[in-house]
Amino acid sequence: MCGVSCSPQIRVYPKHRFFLGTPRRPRPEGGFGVRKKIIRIAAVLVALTLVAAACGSDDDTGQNGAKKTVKIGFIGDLTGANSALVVPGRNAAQLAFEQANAAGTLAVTIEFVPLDNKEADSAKAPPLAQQLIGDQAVVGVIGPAFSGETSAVQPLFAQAGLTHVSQSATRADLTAGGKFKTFFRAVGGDADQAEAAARLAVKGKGCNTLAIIDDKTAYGKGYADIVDTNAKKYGGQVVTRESVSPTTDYTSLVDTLRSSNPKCVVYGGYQPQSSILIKQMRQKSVTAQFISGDGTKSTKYIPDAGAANAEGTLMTCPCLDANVSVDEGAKKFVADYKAKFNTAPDIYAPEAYDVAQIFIKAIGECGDAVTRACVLDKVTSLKDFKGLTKTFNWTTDTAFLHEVTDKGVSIYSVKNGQIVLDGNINDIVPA
Amino acid sequence: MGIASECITSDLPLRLVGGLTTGSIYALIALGYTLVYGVLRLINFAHSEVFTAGTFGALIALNLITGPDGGNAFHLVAAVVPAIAAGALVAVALERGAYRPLRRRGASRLSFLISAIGASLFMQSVYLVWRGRGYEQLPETIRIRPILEIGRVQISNVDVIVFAAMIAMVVGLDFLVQRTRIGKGIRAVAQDAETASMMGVNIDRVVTWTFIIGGSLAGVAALLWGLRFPTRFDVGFLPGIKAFTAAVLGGIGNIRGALLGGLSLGLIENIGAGCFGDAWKDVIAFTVLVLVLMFRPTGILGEEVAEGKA
Repeated sequence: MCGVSCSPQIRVYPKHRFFLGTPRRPRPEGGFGVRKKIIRIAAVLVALTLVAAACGSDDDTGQNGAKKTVKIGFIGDLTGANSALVVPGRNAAQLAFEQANAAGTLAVTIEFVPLDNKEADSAKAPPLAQQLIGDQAVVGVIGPAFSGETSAVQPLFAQAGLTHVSQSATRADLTAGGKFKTFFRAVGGDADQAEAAARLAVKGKGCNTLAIIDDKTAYGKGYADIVDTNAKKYGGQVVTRESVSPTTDYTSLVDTLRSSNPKCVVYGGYQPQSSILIKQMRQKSVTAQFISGDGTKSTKYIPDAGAANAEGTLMTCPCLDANVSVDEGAKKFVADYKAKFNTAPDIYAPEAYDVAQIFIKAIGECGDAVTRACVLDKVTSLKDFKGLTKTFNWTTDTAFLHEVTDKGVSIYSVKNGQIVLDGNINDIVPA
Repeated sequence: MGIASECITSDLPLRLVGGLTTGSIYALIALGYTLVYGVLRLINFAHSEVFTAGTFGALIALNLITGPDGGNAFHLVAAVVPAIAAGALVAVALERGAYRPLRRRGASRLSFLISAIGASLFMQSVYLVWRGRGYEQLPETIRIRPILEIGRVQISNVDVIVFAAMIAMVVGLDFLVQRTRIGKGIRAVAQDAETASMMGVNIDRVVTWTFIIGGSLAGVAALLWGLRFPTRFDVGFLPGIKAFTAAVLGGIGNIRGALLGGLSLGLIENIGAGCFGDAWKDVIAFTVLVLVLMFRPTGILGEEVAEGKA
């Protein structure tokens, strides 16, 4: 049985049979003469291009006595599914640089170059890094925002001597072994916030049975593994341990949770997946305490999950929510941010602002000679720098190099449809 | 996480419901694959994008008619028409744009395959450019509540709605194929296209109607899907492949096979996830596909649209 898709004769040519009997187009006369012309034209074009390139690069050094421009780059998911965790940081850094340029005290003008790594793809990060490395005006980079992409570019930046400070890449092993002298982490790592999650679950909430789920990403799995180890250390029993790639249909996972019936469910992964998961959990009457990390702490968590479903969720975060801070500097930052962007600063905006200020300080100290080497030197020797989120000092122990000494892991919870700050983990559940 | 037979028996009742609900969605989408294959001997790989179109049709319609507090069951019923229309329109556009020109030229089966994959990628890109990368939730029309609980087995209102809607669609399709003129045309073309056209059946019309029906079913599946899950440009990809697997499992070209295959695959997946771990869910589904193709390529029920055994 054939249907209509095959007819008795298999036609290769269309019915009209163009190719037979149509005269060939005449070739251009004088074969080699034409080729010589083409080669000449091509040569001229190549020469012009080279000249344009050579002329183009002069602009960076500045003309007419205008200030030189140096650039600070930024890599993160600005337009993808996780952009809610990255865009606030980009905005905050932009604000910081504009304020610095307006104040006019620097010998140079700082140009901010944010690059979009859609969906935080670690495979797509190296070309973006190369783009920044190839531009000699770039003297520092904020980010990358996520752990997988950071890991992918650390060797490249190290080779190029280009300083990069991440405001949100929390995977523990990024600083392990002190391999990359150009990388600095401006927040506490997952080793700290995941341990806090385990402590909170087992000791704080009394969950003797736990389900630990991750999303197979470098960050999510790293977080979940550390929760796993620490939960067992505190005496909890891990009844379900699953790795599920980000998806929309969690039916079988929720059924597993109903079967194993844990008291706490800890999720290592990002928003929007955490919203999707908690929604399906609650819809199927899984009432376990839901705990997640900083990847979940986004203003979109509650709207996406539904306020009733999100209620009671706990989040660990080595981050400061400036909106609930009483510090004068934080309040001014919030006001400036709102004035410029018409919205409150979301997760990691204050951290990114601090990172931008670190670069501004380093550039200021380099005076006229702002080079990558100088910036690296000034950032490395940073001491007791008071930012919005913490006082910055870098660890020098090569076991975990260039971490902040002041970790600041906070616990946030969803209460009455809002994300509120409960406090520092050490105040809530002493170690 | 070893293979223990007890994981099948102890969890089976609990996972039955979820498996049947998921399987119902697969069945509805599988019908689209099976109908087109029966009539054209073509695997319409772009059918997953027809499903996605249905979700967007429902999304836009519901956004228009519901207020900020969500909607109710009436809105859900009202959204059936736009969901079906979106699915049917995209399906027909596919037929006109990707397949008919090749049919006219008597192209080889390989060309149809390539065209199908190309059309699928094209549509995904169109959706991506149009809606962006974020997930979009359909406004809530049914608040999901459990309506029956026996021990740890829990049936929710949406589980019932999805399953009942699927049964209704299959019964309706059965009626369509068995008792209407267009159904007769479909069966005739599926059996022997040349003879059918000699007997006066308009092949083009039958093909168009096949796509319309397949697209409409995908539209209904999309609306039912949207009761529980958000949508995105690539949301049709995984259900699409799984539904294709289900169609093959049940017997590609066989309408009851699509139903059986869909429900079976939903159950196998859910129970398998319990036995081997959720990470292996998709592996299990595709292993089933491979095994079926190796040992019984015509599927459980075999190819039979033509014989009217809908």
